[in-house]
Parts: sequence; structure tokens; C-alpha cells
Amino acid sequence: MIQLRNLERYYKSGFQKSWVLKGINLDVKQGEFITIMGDSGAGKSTLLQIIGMLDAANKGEYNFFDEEVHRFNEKKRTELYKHYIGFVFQAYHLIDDLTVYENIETPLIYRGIKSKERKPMVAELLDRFNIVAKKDLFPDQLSGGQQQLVGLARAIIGKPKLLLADEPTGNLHTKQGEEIMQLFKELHNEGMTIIQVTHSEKNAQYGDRIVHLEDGYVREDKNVNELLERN
Amino acid sequence: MLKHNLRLIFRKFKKDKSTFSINLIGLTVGLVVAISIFGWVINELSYDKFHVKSDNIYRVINERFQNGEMVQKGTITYPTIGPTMLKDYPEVINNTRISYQGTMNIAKDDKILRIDDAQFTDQHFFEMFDFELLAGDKNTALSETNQVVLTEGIAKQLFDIRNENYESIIGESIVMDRDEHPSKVVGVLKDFPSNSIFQPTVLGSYATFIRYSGEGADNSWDWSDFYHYLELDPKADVVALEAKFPAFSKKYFVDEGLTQSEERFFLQPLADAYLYSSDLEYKIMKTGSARSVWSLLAIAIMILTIAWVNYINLSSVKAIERAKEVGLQRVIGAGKKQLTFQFLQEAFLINGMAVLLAIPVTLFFQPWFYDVMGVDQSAAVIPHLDFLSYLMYGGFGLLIFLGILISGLYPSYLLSSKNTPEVLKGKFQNTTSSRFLRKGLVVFQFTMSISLIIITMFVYRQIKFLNQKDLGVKIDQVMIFNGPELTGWDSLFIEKMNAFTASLSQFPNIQSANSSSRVPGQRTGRIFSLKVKGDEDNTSFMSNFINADSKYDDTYDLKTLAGRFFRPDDSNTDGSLVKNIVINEAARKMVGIESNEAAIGQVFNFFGNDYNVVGVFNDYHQRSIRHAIEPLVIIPYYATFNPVSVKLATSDIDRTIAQVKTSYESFFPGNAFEYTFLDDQFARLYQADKNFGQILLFFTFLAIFVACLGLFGLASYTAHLRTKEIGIRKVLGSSVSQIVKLLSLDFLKLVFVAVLLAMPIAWYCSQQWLQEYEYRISMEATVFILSGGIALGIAFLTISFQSLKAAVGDPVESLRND
Repeated sequence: MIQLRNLERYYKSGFQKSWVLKGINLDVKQGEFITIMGDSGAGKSTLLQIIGMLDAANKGEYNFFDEEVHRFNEKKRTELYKHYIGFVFQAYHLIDDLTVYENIETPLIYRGIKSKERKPMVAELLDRFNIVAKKDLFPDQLSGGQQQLVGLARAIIGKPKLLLADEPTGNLHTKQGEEIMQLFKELHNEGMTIIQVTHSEKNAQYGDRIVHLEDGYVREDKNVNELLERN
Repeated sequence: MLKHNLRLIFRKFKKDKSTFSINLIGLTVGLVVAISIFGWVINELSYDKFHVKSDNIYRVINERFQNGEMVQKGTITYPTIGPTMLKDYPEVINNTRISYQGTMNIAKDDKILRIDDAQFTDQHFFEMFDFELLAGDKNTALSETNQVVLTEGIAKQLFDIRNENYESIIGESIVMDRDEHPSKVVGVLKDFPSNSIFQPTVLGSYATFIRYSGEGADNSWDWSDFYHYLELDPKADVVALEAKFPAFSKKYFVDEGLTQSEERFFLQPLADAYLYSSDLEYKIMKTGSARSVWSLLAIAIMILTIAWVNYINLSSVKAIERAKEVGLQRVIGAGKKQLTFQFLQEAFLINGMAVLLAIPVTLFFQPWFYDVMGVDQSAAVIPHLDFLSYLMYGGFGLLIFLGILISGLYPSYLLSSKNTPEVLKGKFQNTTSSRFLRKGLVVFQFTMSISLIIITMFVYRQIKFLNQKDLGVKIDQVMIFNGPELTGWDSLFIEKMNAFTASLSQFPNIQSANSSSRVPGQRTGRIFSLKVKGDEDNTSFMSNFINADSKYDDTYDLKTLAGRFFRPDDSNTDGSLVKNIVINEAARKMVGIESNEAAIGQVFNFFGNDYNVVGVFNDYHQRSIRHAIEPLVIIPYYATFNPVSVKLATSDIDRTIAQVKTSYESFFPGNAFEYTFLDDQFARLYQADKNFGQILLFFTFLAIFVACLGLFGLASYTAHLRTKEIGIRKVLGSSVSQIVKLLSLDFLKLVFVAVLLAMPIAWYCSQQWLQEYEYRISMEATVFILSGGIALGIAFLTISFQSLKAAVGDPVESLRND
């Protein structure tokens, strides 16, 4: 599904380049649940952003379903957002002026789906995430966990092939975090490809593969089971 | 999508009420002004375009030159011009001529109406112009002697007309002034539409006028008192035709042999007659001012632009807040087009709301505006859509569309071009270029507003100057009433009039009374071949003249500088025995006499007679201050239609007027008594200027108001963004005044730049505006300084309110919030 070859990301300051990512090679198969880990500054968020096209590499190749993403223009990127990628952010990033229902509905509107078809889709997710009662509330009337539920619902309503999550539980209590991670697991079981960035070893256990970054390099890329055995 | 966006936009409006109100109020004010002025401009441009032949009709303009100088430029000329041009030039296919009679008394049996704007014209008038006859035959009306066409309003006053049955008065006879031959009513005209320069009350047949005034009214080449309209062949080349006119003058006027002046002729398109005639003398028609039309249109566009600039500026500062959301919308799949659409929708929505609000406000505001602009709202308007008005409508529509488009696209451009992750991380900063643009736009708004302040000040000073300038005569407390127009002229008239004015002077509250052909403020007749006896070059001069009796100088406080003013015995009922005249200083200077004393005893020749100069009096403004003082000769003639002037004491005016009326009616029974006050008449001469000043002041106020609304919004948002900085500064010991200064100075600098830019612009515009006045105020620096000060003051008040609010806030609070 995703192939990264010799990906580099650096910032220039004067004559010096400071590297954030260097020589990244990564293959993601459909249906995988990958966790990217590493210390602060290891480049994990940048890697996720490049995969999510929020950022672009300076060098290297990025293929998504055999398409060369590094050559994409704005329009194609929008297409990809619409049909293939869903995002979950640490800070939720909901639209303040829209209700829970409307926030979840918005991606469908951009995809041009008719109101009649949108309704059952949104209703189903509200039901699945147990937030039917909150559907008319605005984000600032919700707890963090509830907001992240909405954020997740919004990310997956378009049935994306790939779900990207940047520290999805970073701002949540343990219990709320567990709830979210449980949902990730369910989605994974249903066949969705997920890439998450996290500090938490515990959260990493929900996935099936862990990519460990260190100073911009891939230090380790192992199956969760392998790691468990090793421990 | 649409619904979704609308929901989002409405919630934004609700959340940020101050930005929303600033935009809505500004746009509404801009639109109200624009729609009102636009409607008025369309009306001003529609004058006389409704005639089918309008494009082919031209008015004859006659310029007269003497001794190398233009002495008259007007629509007034000789009775032979139109018919001769029709005869000589195949491209002229029709002509009509008009003689303006002014005030007339028309009578049906015992009922007498004193009417203004009576005119005589021929049957071709109806062939060329499309005025509707309610009764009578257009093809024959005014073709014969003793025919008259009345307007609807006059017909109703004179006759008892039932059920609009105007046919019932066709064939009825009426008496015009003291004409022993009654005239037959051959037509009733629908009242003239307000968008026509023609506003006569009664049209007598030209043939009647010839019978009344002699053949000269038909065939004279030196009696200049007539107005001509020509209809040209649609294929005619006007420039080529005008090029033939010098030869025309040479042939018929024998160079300067006939009128002692060089006669030049031009054609003015009928469509231009209303707006482009401010430099023409002896106009009898309604005139407007192109200067007012285009300047007010410019002001309307300015105010509207200022409102759009507010929208652009406020959305560009708010972009900082908006950026995160836009970035997010992109990540969840919104395309650039969808985002642009959303921004445009927002712009169209708020402008649309402003339009909806502007319509009722305009309906409320427009009558006042029309009233001040002197638009007769009771009269019908015949609308006409020609290319120009389509162009205007199209241009106006396009302007509004572009305004909305640009103001809607700019924030969308600003936000959707940004890099998404930066925006999502909240790193969005205004770029230098957008900051520069915003500052530039504020400068632009204030440059326009300050220019308007300066121009308005000059306009007001000029109007004040016109009202206060010494006329050279005293016009206050002077009552004017009509002469005994219906009393017969006989050898006793002068004695009777003298007895009447003398009897008035007996009243304790009357200082003086006299009779004269014109009173100050009225335009005069002209002598074109005034010669001085003994002048070797036999030069012809042009001078104005009026007729007046021996007490004219007392009533108007005229100063005799040499010799004497008239004595009663200078006048005579036999005109040929009138030998003495008085002249003003300008006339003395014109003919080249060294001193006032030297003028006494000189002999002037004009109208075929010799006159002795017995006195020289001071120059005074016979016409309004708009015009230069011209040479003036006063001749001691009397006439029944000469108005009477009465100088009153300040007390008990009503009773005095009643006394004058009683006395007048006993001396001259059968005449109407209609009086006015001269200072009112004078004030009316400047009414248009005054109205323009009033409108200008009002619009200037609106322009500043809208510009300050925007500034208020910017200042409040900037203060909000800098809350943390202010908190830190306060913790570090900064005083409130230091913080107010910090926050205000940035904006005040912009306003100061605007003051500097506005000065040359306003200087140029004011100069242009003042050009139309013969006597004008100088461009004083104080006006510029004062205007700049006012602008800075208003701006400071606007900003400091916000700055002060931010500065007095609790610093701990603002820091904790972060």
C-alpha cells in the first residue's frame, strides 16, 4: 500500500542542514496497524505528516497504491484526503462552530454525498460510538474523550483505507484513552490500515508492528509478537 | 454544501458580532448612498432623451466677440438664425424658435392668472419634441396667429375642467397681457416631465409674437432675444456643418458690420443641454450640473469602496484565527474550490444582507436627498434607457459584483494558499505582504475621507464667502413686488408711479421706494454697440443696462462717485426726450475715460440716440457673486412691468406690507400684488451651491464614519491579539498611557500618511470646484491643517477607546488566560 524509499527531510539553516528524517525505507501493507515510536525529536510526527501529505519530503520516493505521491499537486492531494486518508489529532481539531453531528458529517459533504445518504451514515457512527445524546452539542461542551470520539468518527466516516493518528490519546485520561484504543483495534480488525504515533508502550500493544525512530533513522522495525517474545 | 456553509457562516456572524456589525453597517451605508446617488444620476442623465429625435436635435449656441474678447456666450441669438440655416443647409431638416416672455397675465373673463415662464414658439416645436397633447391637434397647433397651448396645470387653474375633459376648452378664448386680440386655446399639454429642460407654463404661437412685436421678431439680424433648436438629418456630419458657420456669419452679419461684434455659432446636442450648460448665459431652461453629477457619483463609489476595504481588512486580520479551521477543512477533504466557494458565499451573504437592509433605508433616505438636490418629485419622469444608461446600470452592477468578488476572494486567497501543517500547528502568521496591503488600504480609506473633509471645508467657506461678500448695494429689508403690468402706458404713467412711490415713502416704516426694470440679482439686458462721442477709432463696446427712476440709489444705497444720480425730470414718457444717463465705474474704465470726474459730460451713443453721462456710481454686483462685475449703464426709463422695490424699516413688517398692498391697489386697480424679499431671492441664487455643500457634508460624515468603523474593528482586534504583550509590559511597569500610545501610534501613523496624501488630491479637486466662481476664496493652509487635525482626532478617539480598554485590563488575568 505505502512504499517509502530513501526519504529525507531536513531544514536548512545557513549552510547547515539539520536532518529530521534520513534514509527512511518503509513498506506498509494493507490491513496493518503500525505504531511509530521514538523520543521527542526523533522525527515520528514528521514521518506521519509526510505520509499524510501535511508535509513533504525533500528527497526520496513516496508511493501510495503505486501512485507517486511526491509528485502530487494540490488537487490530487485533496482527492486522496477525500477518499483514502482519515486523520486523528492529539488536539482533536474539531470545527468549533459545528455541532457533533455536523462535524462528523462534514467530510461527506465535501465528497458530494447527498443529505439523504449522509444521515444513516452519521447515525450509525453516533450509535456505534455511543454519542447519540451529544449529537447537538458543540465541541466546547464535550469532555476531551468525547471530543476525540467525534474526531475519530469524523476521520472514519468516509471509510478511508488509511487512518493516521498523531498521539490520539495524548490529551486524555487513561480510561478515555483505553476506550479510544479499543476502537482503533476494532477498526483494525475490520481491515482498516492504521498508522499511529505514540509515546505509550501500552498503546503500541494494540497494533501489530512497531517502528522505532531514533534521530531520524529507523532503529528497529519489528512485529509486536516478536518484541513480546524478546521481552 | 450550500446549506452546510450557510450554517457555518451564520454561526460565525453570531459568534463575532462586532466584525459582523461593522461589515454590515458599513456595507449598508455604502449601498444606501450608492443606490440613492445612482438613481439620481440616472435621472440627471435622462433629460430630454425621451424624444424620438433627441439624438438629431441641437441647440444653437451664439458666442459674441468684441475687440478680441468674448462678451457673451449664450443660447440667445437672432430670430433669423434657425430659418436661415434650414434654408441654406440641406443637413438641417427642421427648426423651431422660441421667444421667452417670462411673466405674463392671462385672463379668462374676470379670472386673471399671473404666470411665469410663458413662451412663444411655432408648430415645429411639436414636430421635433415628443410632448403629449391631452387635447388639440399636434399638426396644426401654434401654426397661426392668436393661438395658445396651455399646460394641464394652468388649464385647470383657468378653466373649470370636469373629468379631465380637456377637449371642452379647445376653441375657448383667453387674453394674454394687454393684447386686444384674444388668443384661442388650440391645445392642452400634459404637464412637462421633470426630466426635460423645457418647463413652460403656456406656449403662445410665434405668429402672435410677430404680430405683437413687429416683423423684427421674424427677420431681424440684430435683435438677439431668441432661442433655436435644429433638427439635423441623422446622417449629417455635425462638425462639418459647424465648420460652415464662419462663412454664414461673414455672409449675413457682414463681418462685424451689423451687430458690431463677431458672431460665432455652434451646435449643442439636446442631450447635453441640461448638464453641460453652466457656462452659457441667458438660459431660460432648466439646467443641472455635470460637476455635481460626476463628483457625487465618485463619492458614492468611494464610500462603497471604503466599506469593502473594511471587509477585506477585517477578514485579513481574522485570518489568523481562521487559518486553523481552513487547514483542518482541507485535511478532511475540502478542495480549494470548495473553500473558495465558502468564502465567496460569505461575502455574497453579508453583501446580500446589506442590500436587503439598504433597500428600505434608501426608500426612507432618498426623498430627503432628492429634496436637497432640487429634484421635483411630484412631477412625472419619462424614463429613457439609452446606451449611456445601460452602460451606467451595467457598470453599477459590475462594480457591486466585483466589489463583492474581490472582497470575498482575498481572504480565501490568503488562507487557502497557506501550508496546511503550519496552519494546523497554529503557526499562521500574517505575511509581510498582507500586512502591507492592510496598511495600504487603511491609508487609502483615510486619504479619501480626509480629501472629502478638506473639499467640504472649502465648499463651505466658498458658500459663506458668497453670502458675505459685499455686494456694493444693500439688499436686506427690501421688498419687491410686480409693476402694474395690466395698467396702460400713457403720458401720466410716470407721474402716477412717482406719486405712488412718494406716497409709500410717507409710511413711517418705509425708508424709500422706487421702480426699476431690474433689481440686484437679476440678469440685465445688454447694449452691444455703445460708442463714445469723439472716439476716433469709433470702437463698439458692450455694456449691461437697466432702467431705473431717481430713487434707485436711495433704495439700494448706491454711492455716486462723481456728478449726480437722476432727478425726476431726467425721465420722460416720450423716450426720445430722455437725455441723461449714469454709468458705473466699470463702464467708465471700459471706454477708457481716465477718471470718474472726466466722465461727466461725455456723450455715449447707443440704441440710435445720444446720452449725456451725468453721474458715475460705484460698482456693485448686479448679478450674483458668481459673476464678475460688468459695465452697467442706467437709463431713466419707466415701464409698466418694472418691479417696485421698497426699503423697509425692521419693525412691523406685516402691517407695512398690508399698507403697501392697499395703496398699490388704489393706485393701480386690477393688478395682482405679488411680493418677495430681495435677500430671499439672492439666497436662492446660491441655493444649488448650498445644497451641494449640505450633501457633501453629509456624505463626508458617512465616509469618515465607515472608515472609522473599520479602524475600530482593526484596533480592537489588534489589541486583542496583543493582550499577552500588554500584560507582560504592565507587569514590567509600563503605564496605561504608555500602552495606549504603543497601540495607537501604529494606526495614527497611517492616518498621518493619509493626511499627507490627501492634501494634493483635495487641493486639486477644490481648485477644480472653485474654478466655476468668478470670485473665490484662496487655498488657505489652515484648512488643510485643520482637516488633518480633525481626521487625526477622530481616528485617535476611535483607536484609543480600544487601546484604553486593553491597557486598563488586569495583566494577571490576561497572562493567566494564555
